[in-house]
Amino acid sequence: MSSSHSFVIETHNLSKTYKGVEALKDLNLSVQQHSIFGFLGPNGAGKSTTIKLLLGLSRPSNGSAKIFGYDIQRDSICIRKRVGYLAQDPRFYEHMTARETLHFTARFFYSGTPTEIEKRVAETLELVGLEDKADRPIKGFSGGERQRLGIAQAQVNYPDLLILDEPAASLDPQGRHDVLEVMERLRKHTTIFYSTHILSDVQRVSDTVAILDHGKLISQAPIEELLNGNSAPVYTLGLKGETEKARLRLVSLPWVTGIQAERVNNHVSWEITVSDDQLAEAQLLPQVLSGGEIIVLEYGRRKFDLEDIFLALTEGDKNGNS
Amino acid sequence: METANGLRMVNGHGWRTGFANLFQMASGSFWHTKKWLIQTGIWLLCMNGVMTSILWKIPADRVSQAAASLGSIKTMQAAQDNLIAFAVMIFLTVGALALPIAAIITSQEAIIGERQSGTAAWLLSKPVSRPAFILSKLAASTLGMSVTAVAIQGAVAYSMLSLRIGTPWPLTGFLGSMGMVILNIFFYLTLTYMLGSIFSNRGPVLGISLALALVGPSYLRAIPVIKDITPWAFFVNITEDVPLGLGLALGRSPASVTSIIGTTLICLVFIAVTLLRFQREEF
Repeated sequence: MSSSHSFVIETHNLSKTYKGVEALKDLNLSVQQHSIFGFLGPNGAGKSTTIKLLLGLSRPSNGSAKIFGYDIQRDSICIRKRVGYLAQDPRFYEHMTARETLHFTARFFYSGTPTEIEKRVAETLELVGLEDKADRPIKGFSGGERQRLGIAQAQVNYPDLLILDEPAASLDPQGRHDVLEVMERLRKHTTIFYSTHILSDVQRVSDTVAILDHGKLISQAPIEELLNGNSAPVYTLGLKGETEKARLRLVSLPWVTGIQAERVNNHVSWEITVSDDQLAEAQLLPQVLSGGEIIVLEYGRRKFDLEDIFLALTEGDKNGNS
Repeated sequence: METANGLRMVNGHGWRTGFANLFQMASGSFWHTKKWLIQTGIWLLCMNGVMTSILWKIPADRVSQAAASLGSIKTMQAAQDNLIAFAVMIFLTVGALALPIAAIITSQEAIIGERQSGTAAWLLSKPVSRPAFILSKLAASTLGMSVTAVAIQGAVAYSMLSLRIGTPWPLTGFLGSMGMVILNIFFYLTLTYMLGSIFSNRGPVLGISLALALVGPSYLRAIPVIKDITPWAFFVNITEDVPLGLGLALGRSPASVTSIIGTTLICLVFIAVTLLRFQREEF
């Protein structure tokens, strides 16, 4: 398998303009196979536009994209045979039951006797926990039940790629929890590309994140990398006792580039910026403790909250644009 | 290709991808409910009810005389004077006026409704070609109306006519006439689909198609050429001669089939425009 084939989705300067308004600008995205890829951005950032372009529901104004190596415009049907899609506000035929809807959906992918298809449908209903409501017309479904049916119909063909547009946006906390749990259950079978504006969801289930704002990709990175921040590594320490000697020891080290100290109640809090993460990991704590004059209350490498990262990036982009 | 649990992958390619499943669904929502029975009942009452009541009001001693002179009917006046021919004319006229309206009303939602409800976007995210989406619906509507409003009504009418005159009614011409009724319905179905692909709300779709159905035939005298590309002169007379559809039903050979060919071509143009417009649609 060539390196490009390990990417399920690849976009190249993908752009979309609606009536003179640029909804998506030169999007370059690579989604690794078997990842849960969170596509993050505020409302109107261009997330749904991107998804619709990928599925052939809309045409790009410029640029191109490939899914499984197939061109999204030329080979859309080949792509859709291997994709499951949940729309932001999933709509079905209201008079049909959940079971009928899944039978109908399954027949776009499979042929077989009703009994054979029913087996697959039953599996999918179980996956989303809709077995007891399977024979009720959809018109009586709650938002959460519709969303679960949406996931079921997206998953009925064992897709190689699941595209979910805001899968948890309209749900209450329990519904959100259920949906994220289903996503986690599916991660071993498929690649999941999902859009959201809920930062905590992304932090919980994604392994890679792309941040989109005003139709522009601001950042794309593995979640760990993003949470560690792009600047120099920072270590935090909570200390008690005589800290001055330890501080002098540290500032003399060539790989320590800065120390910010702050007194908090009866202890001191340090933020130490380093230029060499490996040396810091190995030597920072022993250096602090070597004098024997202080007690370490807290020690760790500083992690950023996704919200900090998101706000910093989107604000930075606004400033850059202005 | 077989999957792990014995299911076989559907191998649809090109424009037919998804057609069979969509057609089955669209047909199922008609044939697996009481809709088809209700429609059959309505048409039975409207088309055959009126014709049968006329047929059975003809005094028995005048039936054989009227039946014997059917072959010589050449003008509208002669058709109106012969009560059997008049009954057939009423059957066809009711069909020619009412069936297009039914076709328009039942199909005006086919594209717009699915687009507005979001189900079109859902279906098109599956392996479904856009032509399959349109053609499956059109095929299901045409089949539904052709069976309930033409085939069943035609069979009942043919039986009644044969029973009343005591010998089998000329079959070939009658079948040809029923084919023209189907073409008339198909014209309005394809027209409504085309308008549904052009406009984004129901008003213009319903307005334009109903206006053409109700007012269109009155322009036949002013613009005679439109009789060659529309079904408007199939069952309505613009000259003293019996119209083509009635003539066929009475067992006459058609003088010209230009209007049949022209209407078929126009239907194909409507379908082509619908497919082109829908291909460009963004969801």
